[in-house]
Amino acid sequence: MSDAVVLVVSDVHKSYPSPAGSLKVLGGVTLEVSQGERVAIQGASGSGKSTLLYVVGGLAKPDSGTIVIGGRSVGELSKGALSNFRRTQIGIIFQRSNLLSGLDLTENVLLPLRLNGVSGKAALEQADNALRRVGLAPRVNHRVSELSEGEKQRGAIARALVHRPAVLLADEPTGSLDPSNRRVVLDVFDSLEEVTLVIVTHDDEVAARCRTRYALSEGILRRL
Amino acid sequence: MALALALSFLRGRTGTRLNRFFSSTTAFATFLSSLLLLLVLAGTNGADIELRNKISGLDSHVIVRRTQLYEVVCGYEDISGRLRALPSVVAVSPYVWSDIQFESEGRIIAPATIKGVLPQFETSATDINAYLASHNLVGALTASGPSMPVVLGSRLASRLGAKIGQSITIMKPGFSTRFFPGFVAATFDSGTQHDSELAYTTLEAAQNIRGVEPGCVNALAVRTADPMTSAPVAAKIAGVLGREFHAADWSTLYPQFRDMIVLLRRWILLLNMVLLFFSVMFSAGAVLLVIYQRRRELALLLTMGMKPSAVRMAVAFVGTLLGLLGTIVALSLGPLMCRLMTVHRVVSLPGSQANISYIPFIPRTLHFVMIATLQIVVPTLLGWWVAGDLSSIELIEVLRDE
Repeated sequence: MSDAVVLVVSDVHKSYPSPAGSLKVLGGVTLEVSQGERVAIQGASGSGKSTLLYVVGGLAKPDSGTIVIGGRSVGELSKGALSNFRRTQIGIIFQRSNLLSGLDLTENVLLPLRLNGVSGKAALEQADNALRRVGLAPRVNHRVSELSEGEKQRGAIARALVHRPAVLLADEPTGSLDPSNRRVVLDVFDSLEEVTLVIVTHDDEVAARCRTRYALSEGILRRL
Repeated sequence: MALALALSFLRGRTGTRLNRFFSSTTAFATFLSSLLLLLVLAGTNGADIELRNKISGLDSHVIVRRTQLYEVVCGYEDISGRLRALPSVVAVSPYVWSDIQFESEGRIIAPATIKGVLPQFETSATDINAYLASHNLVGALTASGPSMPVVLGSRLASRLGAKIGQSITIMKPGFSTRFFPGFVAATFDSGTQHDSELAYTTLEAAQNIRGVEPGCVNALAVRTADPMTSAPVAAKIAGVLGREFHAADWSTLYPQFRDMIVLLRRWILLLNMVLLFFSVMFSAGAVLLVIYQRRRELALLLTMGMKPSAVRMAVAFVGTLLGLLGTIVALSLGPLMCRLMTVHRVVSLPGSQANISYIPFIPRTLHFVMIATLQIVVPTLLGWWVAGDLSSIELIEVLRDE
């Protein structure tokens, strides 16, 4: 980990409309993440931790506040620039692997590269490396249906990091896995030393593996 | 990239039997609706052509005669030439008709109308050749024989018990009934009432029977380019020939038949429109189903930074490919199906409704173009439109659900 700050979240507010009026989810969240830092954000279900993750990833707009990743303010990006930003700077892992069922494992991992205009041998090499890093080298040509849940999630991790994003965001990445698969996936995260990782989880064991831990409660983020 | 993605959506591999099922069902739905649409369009076109044929059949679209009913038209060659020069006039056939009775083997007497024609003109002005079993009219009326050649309607021949080559006698009733020897040169079967009451002979023979001078006829039969617009042609003919002549089109002569045809054509048009609508809706609904089935994957691609326009393109391609697949198969099989349904007379009409015993399936190039356009363009545009809707979805909602 270096001291260079990769992600800065400043005073971010976000609320959703609800039948009972406006529901405040984030009430002035501030956070700094350095290059290669591994951050866990914990909180009860519905506390807004996933919302924070998606706001950081440019998938949802905050009501106010700023998010700066790699020196660029996400809120100031146009629609096209935001797509480009997500394509190059962000990797997202969901609770479910969300691998595209029409593609095999390698093709899934190749997707972010192809979206970034990388193709041919160079793309295949990068995809191969990413799959090797998550321990899926023997499964490269397998169909998604032929993979276990743990393998699918590792495939999703490979897909999220293959294009070397500035920040890897993970939303309950072990939430749908059994204990043995969960351990394998956490070991994969441990091996990604240079990757800046923000994990949202309500699992203490997952959080325990991260150097920095925060708790989100009533819209306020507190360092633990 | 968009095309590759669209193809991957359609492949629907892996753990996605449901996706594959949707893709296959959609392609099948497009195929089925395209094929059905083609068959119905071909069937209605066939019915329309049959109706048009029956309008002319053995009758002409316009009949030209003298204003005084029993006056003859002399100098018909000159008049025929003037009529042929008019636009929309396809053919002109002068004729002489006479009410007569046939006598066969001295026993059976059948009342009929005999029509004397110049066969080379009559075959252009009417469809008589299509109804002759073994000859064409020119051959039948120029056949050498012992007496005047007569072409009998099939039911008239049957009533007389007359076979081809057999001698018959033509009786012209009057103050002094006259008898003319003839022989059956051919028979025709048009499926109309003419089969039991009409016979053809040469113009010269009919002039002799009727007592009309050479160079004169009773009337001229005119065929127009489109029987549905023969009324204005008749009006034009009347204008050209002047008050001494009367020109009446088939719709004036047979108003009930005209009304029936107009009604039928309206129903055919309505049926086609309804079918077209449901066919397109059917295909469009199936494409929508596939696209919504892939909503989660589309949302995922957007989160990965795929441009909304590229997602839109991919979804439009899904629509195009599904439409293309089903339509190509349907339009390839369609002509064969039409042929089989025509040959085997799958749609037969009991009692020869409107003188049509069955409906032939005759597809037109326009049908192919129309179906291909609708079944490919509509799903493509629909895909494009739906994808626009999808690209503005709350990605979080889609990806976190389930």
